[in-house]
Amino acid sequence: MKRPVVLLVEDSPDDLALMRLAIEEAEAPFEFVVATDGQQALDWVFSRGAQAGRDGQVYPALILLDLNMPAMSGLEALQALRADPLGRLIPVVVLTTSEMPSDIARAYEGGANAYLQKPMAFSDLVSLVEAIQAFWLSFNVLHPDAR
Amino acid sequence: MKGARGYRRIQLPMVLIRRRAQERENTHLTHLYVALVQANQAMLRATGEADLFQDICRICVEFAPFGLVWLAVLKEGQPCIVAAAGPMQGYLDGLALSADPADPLGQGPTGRAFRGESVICENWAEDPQLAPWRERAARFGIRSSGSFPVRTQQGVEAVLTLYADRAGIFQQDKIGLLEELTSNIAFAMNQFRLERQRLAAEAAMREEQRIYQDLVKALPAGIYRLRVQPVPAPTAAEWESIYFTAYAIEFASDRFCEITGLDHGAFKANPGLILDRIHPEDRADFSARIAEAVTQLVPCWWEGRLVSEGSPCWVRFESIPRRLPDGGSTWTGVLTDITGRRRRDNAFRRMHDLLRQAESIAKLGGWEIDLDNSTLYWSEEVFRIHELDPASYTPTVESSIQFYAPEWRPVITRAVQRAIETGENFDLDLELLTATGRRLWVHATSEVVLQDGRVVKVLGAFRDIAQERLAAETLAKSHAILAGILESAEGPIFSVDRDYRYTSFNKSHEAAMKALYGREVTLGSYMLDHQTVPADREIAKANLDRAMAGEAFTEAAIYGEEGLSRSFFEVVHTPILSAAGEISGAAVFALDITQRRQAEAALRLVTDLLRQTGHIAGVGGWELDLETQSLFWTEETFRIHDLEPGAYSPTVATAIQFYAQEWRPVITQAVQTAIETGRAFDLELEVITAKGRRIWVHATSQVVTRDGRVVKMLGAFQDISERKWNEEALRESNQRLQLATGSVHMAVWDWDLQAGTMTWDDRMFELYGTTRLETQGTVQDWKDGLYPGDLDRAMAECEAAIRGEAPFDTEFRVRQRDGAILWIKADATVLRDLEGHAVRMVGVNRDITELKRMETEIRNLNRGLERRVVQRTHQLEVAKDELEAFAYSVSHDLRAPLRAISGFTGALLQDGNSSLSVEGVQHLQRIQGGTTRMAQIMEDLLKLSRIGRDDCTLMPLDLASLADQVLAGLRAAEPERRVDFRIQHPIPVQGDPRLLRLLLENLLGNAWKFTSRVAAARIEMEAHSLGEAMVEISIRDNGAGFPSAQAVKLFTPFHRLHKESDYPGTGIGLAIARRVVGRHGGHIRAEGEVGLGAVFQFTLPVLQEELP
Repeated sequence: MKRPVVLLVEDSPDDLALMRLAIEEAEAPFEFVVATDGQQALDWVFSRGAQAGRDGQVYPALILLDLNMPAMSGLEALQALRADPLGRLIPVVVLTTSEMPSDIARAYEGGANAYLQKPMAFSDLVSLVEAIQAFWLSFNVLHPDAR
Repeated sequence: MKGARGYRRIQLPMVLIRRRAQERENTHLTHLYVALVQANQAMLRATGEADLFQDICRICVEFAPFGLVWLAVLKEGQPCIVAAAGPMQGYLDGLALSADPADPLGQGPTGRAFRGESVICENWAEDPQLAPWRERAARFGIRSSGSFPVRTQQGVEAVLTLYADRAGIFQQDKIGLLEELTSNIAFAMNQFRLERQRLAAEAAMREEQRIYQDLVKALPAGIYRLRVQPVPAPTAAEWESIYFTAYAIEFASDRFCEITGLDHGAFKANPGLILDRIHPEDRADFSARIAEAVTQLVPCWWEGRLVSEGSPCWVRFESIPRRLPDGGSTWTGVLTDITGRRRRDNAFRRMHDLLRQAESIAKLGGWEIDLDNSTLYWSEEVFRIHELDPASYTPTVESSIQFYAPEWRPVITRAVQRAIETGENFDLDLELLTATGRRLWVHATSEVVLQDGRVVKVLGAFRDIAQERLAAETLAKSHAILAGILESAEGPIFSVDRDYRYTSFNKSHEAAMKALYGREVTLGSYMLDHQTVPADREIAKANLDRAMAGEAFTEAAIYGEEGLSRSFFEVVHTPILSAAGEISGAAVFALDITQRRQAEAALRLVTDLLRQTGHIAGVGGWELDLETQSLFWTEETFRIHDLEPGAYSPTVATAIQFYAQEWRPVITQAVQTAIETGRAFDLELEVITAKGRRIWVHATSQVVTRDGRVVKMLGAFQDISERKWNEEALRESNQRLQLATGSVHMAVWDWDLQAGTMTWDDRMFELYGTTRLETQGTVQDWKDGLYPGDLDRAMAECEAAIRGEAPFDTEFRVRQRDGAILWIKADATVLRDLEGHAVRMVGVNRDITELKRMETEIRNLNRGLERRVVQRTHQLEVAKDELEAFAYSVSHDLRAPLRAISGFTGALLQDGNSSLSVEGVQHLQRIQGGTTRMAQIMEDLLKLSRIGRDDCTLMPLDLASLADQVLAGLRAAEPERRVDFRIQHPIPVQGDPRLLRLLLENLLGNAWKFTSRVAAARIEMEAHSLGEAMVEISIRDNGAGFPSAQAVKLFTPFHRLHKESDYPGTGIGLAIARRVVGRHGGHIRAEGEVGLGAVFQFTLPVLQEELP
């Protein structure tokens, strides 16, 4: 069986490295693709721009989306994604440091499926990855049309 | 047969013996029955116990086979024989008996019977217990005996003992009968006791009754008791009609009849008679009172008069009802003669009247201001002084002040005010304008009443001192007058002592002596020496001697040297009396009457004319004949002087004395001038009338000359007081006002509304930028001076004030002639006559231009200030927002690198394959600890910054249940800890739930944290109300506490009182707590003591109850 693909949208190299370590530590059975800003992420999802040539069959089962990013912010990316009929079907989990009520509200209003805060301790991050894997990739059933 | 016969023989006698014994037995029994019956009959007959006992003993001996029967009762514990009978009675003489069981004698039959035993001794010869009496008994032939206890309700009360000369008498059936006898005796004794008790009770009752009767007799008041039939509620009138049938007298004491004068029997037969005894005028009242009391069945009293032969007898009825089952009632009452008391009351009332009269005579009134209900009380004399009717006028503090003359009102107002405010008493002489417009002097003093250091009452005396003042003034003046008269008198006056030495003389005398004898007289010199004409000296000496002998007389005399300067005098001689009443000299007043008679005829003509015209016009006339020095007054002139026409003969000297002292020189001078130059006078002067009234008069004169010489003066005399008073009062008050207002730069105007004239003072002219030369200060001048834009408004306010709708208290602008604009503050009072019509309007103007300018300046300044405050506030808000955004982003942005440090450290530590040394691992752990703490600090800082930024929405909530939730969280985190929570439930407050949770998390979290090292940890939370709007909540723990001096610093961020290693924390929690409380409008404070615990107290708003 093909391992599910998770699109990780994260601009901070540190957080990205930690995430990698955590996924490794959690021994999570999924592939992950990294985009370092909103634009990249959208390009990848819709196989366009720099990603026009990618394998269109590979489609994310989940997007982990940071909010504070250069170029195109997470919320902007979310809006663009949800504007697309196919993009609308992909679960998006916001993973960010922000705990501003306005950010939380706008994330949900923009169509996020969950809002998670980045934990401080590495061990917590490992637990979080395990939880995401368990919930979104094992228990959760995707939309039939989601590829 | 023989045997049978023998048997029968034997048998027969035995049968006989038995039969005989049986018969004897029967006989004995029969006898005993008889005795019993007899004894019972005796009991029925018995009148006394002693007789009965004796009878019983006698009957037993008489009818039964007993040689001795006696009855003993216990007296002081010893048996005592009270009755005995029988031939063996001698046995009893000196018989020793005892009921004491310890005494051997007490073991005998009597003793035992007293202890309740029936003792039968069938054989005296053998019974060992009878030993003490055996020998003695044998002597009297006693063989057997029976002793029976007589048992009454009181126990064994007596013992009946019966003796027989044979043994075997006391068989069972006889014992039974004898016991019945003793029980009958006991019954009788019980009956006797009851009888005795009844008698004693009766005696006691009789005694009591007697005492009561004596008491009732001895009482000065009458006692009665009556019964009232059930009647429907009657009116007073109905009551009188049923009086005769509805009442029944149950009891009426002698005294009652004595007071009412009613016959005992007649009154009992007809209770209605009492009505006839009530004074006819009081009868209706009496009936009404009785009717009311009987209807309501309540205790009642009535006081009134009884019909009596002599003076009326005053009585008081007082009665108390008791309801009877049949709906009627009994009334027990007391009737008191209160005539004496009434007399005392009357005496008191008379005293009061006397006092009032005395008050009136002294013209001394009393007044009182009760500050608690701000009422003013006046005694009757105060009303009288004000010439007011006490019944129709109620004084108030404000209205009473209006009675003072206008110039005195501020004085009394201030004095009263000071008395009220500072308790300082006053003592003032003031002028009063009475209700009828009289002006009089009063003396007002005060006395404050203090209570708890506060003035609650001001009372004082009030006295009409017009007379007094006048008298004092007059006295002072009369001395001066006398001196004046002496000096200026027309005729020579002098006085000498008993040695004919001068004690005084006037100029005229001095001049006369010079003219007649060419002598200079001096005081103390020998008067007769100066009379150089011997004939004159003789006459003078004789006259002086006559006066010094005590005679006052007038003699005509001609003095002077013949042909030289001879004058015809009428000389008045008067003895001078010393204070001790002795004649100390003589006074002489000589009058030159040389030309007196000449004008008499002409005089008469004029007087007639004057009398007629004067009376009609209210104008008096006077005439002075200079030749005779006689003064004539018309009737009207007398009246003006408050004198009966003709009751007094005026002279120039005495007439002048009627003038007020300050006017005497004026009139004297005027008369003098008239005489000397013939110039008439026309003067307004003050006169003090015979009644002491000070009045203004208008006196004019004309002169009659003959040969170029004034021989007569005559003139008109008119009372012009009223006009003068008005003028004077106005002038005075103007002056005073001027004085008063001058110092505060007030301008005063006075508008006579009836005449339409206005008067300005100097300052008014100044204010309106004009002068007396340019304007007159009329109403039009005022209008012209007003700034046109303010004119209509000012006029409207002025008219409103005149109509009494609003006080005149306004501001307007005045445009002076040179164009300067002044701001004027104007106040005015409208004066009204007794009917309330506006008569005058008096007001003040004050230049408030400078004040206005300053006001404007201040207003401008304020406006600028407000603008700046708004700007600054806005700037501050922007800065605050920026700052908070900055704080947020700082803490947010700081978190990313921190997470990197923390994350990678954790990753390193978690890496199982790591080749780290133990030391390396420890270092990494420290790095991780540091990052954790830093993260916590940043989180707290974020919270702190957010409390100020986020909305605080107040809603009613229960702080206690919020505390429960927080504590449940704390418990869940450390389930092993045992902490005693005492939370008061509920604690209703108004607050933002999220913020208050944060507050409790911090405060309870602290309490939880700092009690972690205490064995019996305890956390308490309680609330108590602070008035209606706030509640104070205390959270108390018995944990580590803190030095009390540190209490204030606690709430500063990052301020820690404990080592982090002891009690972890960021040091921001209490700063958060303070900010939360502050956002709710409350305060927080802390108290603590090291090792004993801490208490945090904060206030929060509570839901205020909605008003109905």
